Amino acid sequence: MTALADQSGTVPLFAIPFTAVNTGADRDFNARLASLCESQRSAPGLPGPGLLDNTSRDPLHFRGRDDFLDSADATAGELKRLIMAQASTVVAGLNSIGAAEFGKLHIQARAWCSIVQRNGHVPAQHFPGASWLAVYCAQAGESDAGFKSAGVLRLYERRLGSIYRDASTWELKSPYCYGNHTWSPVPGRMALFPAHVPHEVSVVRSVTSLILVFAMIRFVDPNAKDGRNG
Amino acid sequence: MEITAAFAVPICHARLEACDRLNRELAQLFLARETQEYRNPTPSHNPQAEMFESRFDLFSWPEPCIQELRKFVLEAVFRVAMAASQTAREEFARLHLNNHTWFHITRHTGYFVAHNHALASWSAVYSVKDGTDADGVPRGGLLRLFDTRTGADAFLDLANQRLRQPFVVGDLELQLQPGQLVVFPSYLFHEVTPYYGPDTRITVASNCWFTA
Repeated sequence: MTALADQSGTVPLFAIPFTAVNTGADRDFNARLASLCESQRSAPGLPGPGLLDNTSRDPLHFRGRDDFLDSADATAGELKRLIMAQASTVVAGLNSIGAAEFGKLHIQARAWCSIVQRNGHVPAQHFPGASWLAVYCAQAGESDAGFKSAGVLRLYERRLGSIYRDASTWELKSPYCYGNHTWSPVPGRMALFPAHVPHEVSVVRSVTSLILVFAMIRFVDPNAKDGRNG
Repeated sequence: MEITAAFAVPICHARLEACDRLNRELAQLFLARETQEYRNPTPSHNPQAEMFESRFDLFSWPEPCIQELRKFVLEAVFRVAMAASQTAREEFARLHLNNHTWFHITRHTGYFVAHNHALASWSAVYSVKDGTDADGVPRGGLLRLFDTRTGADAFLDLANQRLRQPFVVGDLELQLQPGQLVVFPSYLFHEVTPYYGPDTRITVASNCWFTA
């Protein structure tokens, strides 16, 4: 029996890790970050909405360039350190290799900002070639009254066993319940989950644009001899 | 050497020819019944003001246009299910087809979250009105069928990133045209992306299951 087992000896199998952390970033930092994202949107020479994100047909969603964290801007650099530190801590905690060994890994990230205006959304997506996806919230507004689950990060349920249900499986408790998982972005908070998990940002119903930074992350073993990423 | 497609998902595309008159009658009826009396009283997902979902007894309505559509949809479902099954045709033909059927009216920014349908074997979506502009510009409202092989493309190299059909990994996005019917297994997760047109998008959806 593992440490996760309840009194009956039941354990969750094939679990997908999902973390939401408060990074501690303050209002001033998030305002600077939001401003940096907005400046990308209005920068001359950048492709317009939907052109960089070829899966998006939503003119109310702007997706910026995917070198956001490589910018010389001090705020972008601060965000890079923040995301990498939080991701390293969380992922190290999920690993069976020791902290010292994990600390030797090199972390790589490619990130972009998404600005989602009222009635816009981020369509279903997932990312090959990365192990983790971080979603940092720089700005979010209150949804208009009457709108539930607006502007949330929604991770899609994919367990096909949900197709048969009886009276005992309609209301399973977490982590066994079937259904999508939603996370409400709050400025300064960051979600982290495997990059292969399909997800979306549902339609935003707030006068304040939702501003998120998505970062594809992978860890590389610099001593790997077979050319793989460790 | 032989390459075969394993784990295949059957999807049927059918079209009702000369459907303008029927779709006009259906649209008129549905818009007239977009009322509390006909609204689904127990929606499975958070209801939205931009999307009306009717009760699930649509095919029991006596109106001729409903019965005409019922015949087209259920015959198609029966044919698909029979074609995909190893059961002998004469044995299959004796099965009874049950259904829950409803209509959706979607207005600007309405959508339907990703889901599948428990306790059904086949699902169908028929387009009554696609809600595109007069010039045919798509305005979202796509039916997106999700690939069941989640994570199969997590690692891509130069050899597997351009697989050909039927091996390609990826979701299937359908911009349904009026009169178009899609039938697929109910286990398949699917969603309707936000509709950004100025008009209304109207569909009929059906969940089916067979009994002896």
